[in-house]
Amino acid sequence: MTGRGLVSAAGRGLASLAEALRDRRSHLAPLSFHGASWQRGPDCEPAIGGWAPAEALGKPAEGPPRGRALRLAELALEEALREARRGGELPAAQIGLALGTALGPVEEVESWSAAPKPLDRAALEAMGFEGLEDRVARSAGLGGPRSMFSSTCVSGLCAIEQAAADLALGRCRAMAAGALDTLGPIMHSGFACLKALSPTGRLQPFDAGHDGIVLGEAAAFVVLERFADARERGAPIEACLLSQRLLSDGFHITSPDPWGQAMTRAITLALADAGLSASDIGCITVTATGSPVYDRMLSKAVEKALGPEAAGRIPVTTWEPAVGHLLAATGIAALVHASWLLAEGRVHPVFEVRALDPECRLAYVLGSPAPLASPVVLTLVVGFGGQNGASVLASAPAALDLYSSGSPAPGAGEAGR
Amino acid sequence: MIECAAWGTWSGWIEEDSRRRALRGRRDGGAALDPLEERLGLNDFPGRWNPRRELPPQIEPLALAAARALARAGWWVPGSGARVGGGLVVSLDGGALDSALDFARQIRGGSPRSVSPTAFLFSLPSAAASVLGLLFGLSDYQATVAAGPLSGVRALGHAVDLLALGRLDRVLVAALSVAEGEQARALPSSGGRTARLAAALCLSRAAAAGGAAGGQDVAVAIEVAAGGRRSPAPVEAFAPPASGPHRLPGCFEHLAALPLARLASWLGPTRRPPAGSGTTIHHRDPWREERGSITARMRG
Repeated sequence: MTGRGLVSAAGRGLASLAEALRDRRSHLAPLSFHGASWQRGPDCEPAIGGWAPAEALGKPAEGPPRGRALRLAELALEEALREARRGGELPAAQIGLALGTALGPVEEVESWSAAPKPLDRAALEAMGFEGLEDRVARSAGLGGPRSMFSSTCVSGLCAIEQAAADLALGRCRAMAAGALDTLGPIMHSGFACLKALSPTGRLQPFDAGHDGIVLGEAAAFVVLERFADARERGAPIEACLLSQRLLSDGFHITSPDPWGQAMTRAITLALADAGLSASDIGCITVTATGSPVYDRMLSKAVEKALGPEAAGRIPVTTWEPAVGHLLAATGIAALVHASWLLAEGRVHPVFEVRALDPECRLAYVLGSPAPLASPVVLTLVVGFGGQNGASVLASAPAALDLYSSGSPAPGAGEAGR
Repeated sequence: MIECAAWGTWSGWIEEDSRRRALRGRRDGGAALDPLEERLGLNDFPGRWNPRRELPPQIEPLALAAARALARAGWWVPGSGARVGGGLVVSLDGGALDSALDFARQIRGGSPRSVSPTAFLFSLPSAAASVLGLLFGLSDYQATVAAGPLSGVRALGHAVDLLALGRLDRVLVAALSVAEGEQARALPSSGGRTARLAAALCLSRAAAAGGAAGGQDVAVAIEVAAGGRRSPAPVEAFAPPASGPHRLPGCFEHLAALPLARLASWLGPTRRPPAGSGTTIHHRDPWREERGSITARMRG
């Protein structure tokens, strides 16, 4: 991983998220759509969410007006490419794009439904996912293979699968893998009518009072290269993605399997692919949505996969209280966040926790930061409809140490990743 | 090229719009091909689906195509309730946008809590994969490709990549295209007619297939290229059901499921293509000048 880009409620850049996490500052705030506030609960308090600030979005230097989704994606991609280009030359023509989104350019659907007229080609193109992918690739002049996934909150991890395949099969020099979703009436009302949102508007992962999700919008990108290629052109390597497994529950259309069987299997397989065991893990990061069923499921899955000793010892943290649940961007944001932890060498605490839910039994970092005992991070991402992703990342020196002695090549199974 | 054992099936449905139907009378109103009259038995999924609940109509053609393909491959036995091992890659174009527009209309001026969750659920292209995963107990890798008219080719390409790299041993690739209502009227090729097309293919890595009976041993390659100037491939007849027309109406032309349906048809439920024979199926995105192709060759 040689480039990272993120735009969220914390602002533009990984640094803005890092600052929020260091300062334990939440960027969740009352929402207003189309000039009207949305309410939650019987007392009509304003709905809460994480909206990317206008100053972070800025104005595009040139070209036609962009929708919010495209602007978020352009900025995050631009940042990731800028970081990746700190080393030697990396021509845009040799970079591919793998993109993920749950609802795509939903702002266009909202605008069209506000002033309906007969659908035409322009409207269909603006509202279609393929139009978004096309425009994101063109915004950076990317000439490599392209793909577009929509698999709820693990969309970004599906993009990673295709990006890794394109690299492994030699189709391009580098891949920009990213994901995005924006917050608006459709997204907010959709989760509200599914009764998934927190009625208190507080995102309190693992807390006895956790009562639901608080949504945030974001775009997140990483630039992936083959390890040897990145070293050859002298690019600083921010982290190595050693393995990834993505499994579904096949349990319910919206809810997770509360026993976490697929997540348990995903963790076990991801570690096996990387040739690592629980004792190698320095830290676990999780999608902590603030939803009791997900928080408890993750606790059960980690305990089963790693055993009670490791589950009670390895520090666990999350970024979600700072910026909200980032929907499709979650998977890529998790990788960006993990790479930052590897550089920091310590694990920031989870904030907004007062008293732990007794069914959340992991070693959550509370109060003060914990040391990162080993430069290996396990990230766990959950998605709507029972999607479970487990990824293992390590610092570049650690990856070299792990795999330089003739042990299995760094990577996932036969893919050689 | 990845060598694999493949089984496929497809279902299509078309209906002329109500205006034309009214003009021409009900007698001539429906030009059906493989009209999806066969229904899935709700008791086919014991322990996986509440038989008192109808399947979501949005995805019924897809579930039907998947059920046929899985049963033909021997991966699934109706009524067994057993989980089907393997990955799932779904291609979707059209249907989710209808649901999103419907949901957007519902929420305008209303409270977020007074609207139908179903409309929101099916605004998410991944809802179809969630339902298939639930019905068949597919609990391995799952992805949904939503990339317009080339979604089907790209979904197949994604699945073939994962097989080639050993990330999966077997995978169900299922595609659903829906052009209805406002969308059908806006699509240049549809002539305003409603069309649905679903296709499903079961692919096993040759090394992992273990000589399972009945599969067609094929090698599959996928290519997607931008900037092509090639004119669209004619929409040819592809082993249609005996009662159906022998040429597909133009409204199917840009549906993303079409190339998968053509591949499924070439593999054929009853006739096996001769050893060494091959086919190349072209498909294009008319708006972005992108084209894709699927090449399949029987091992001989």
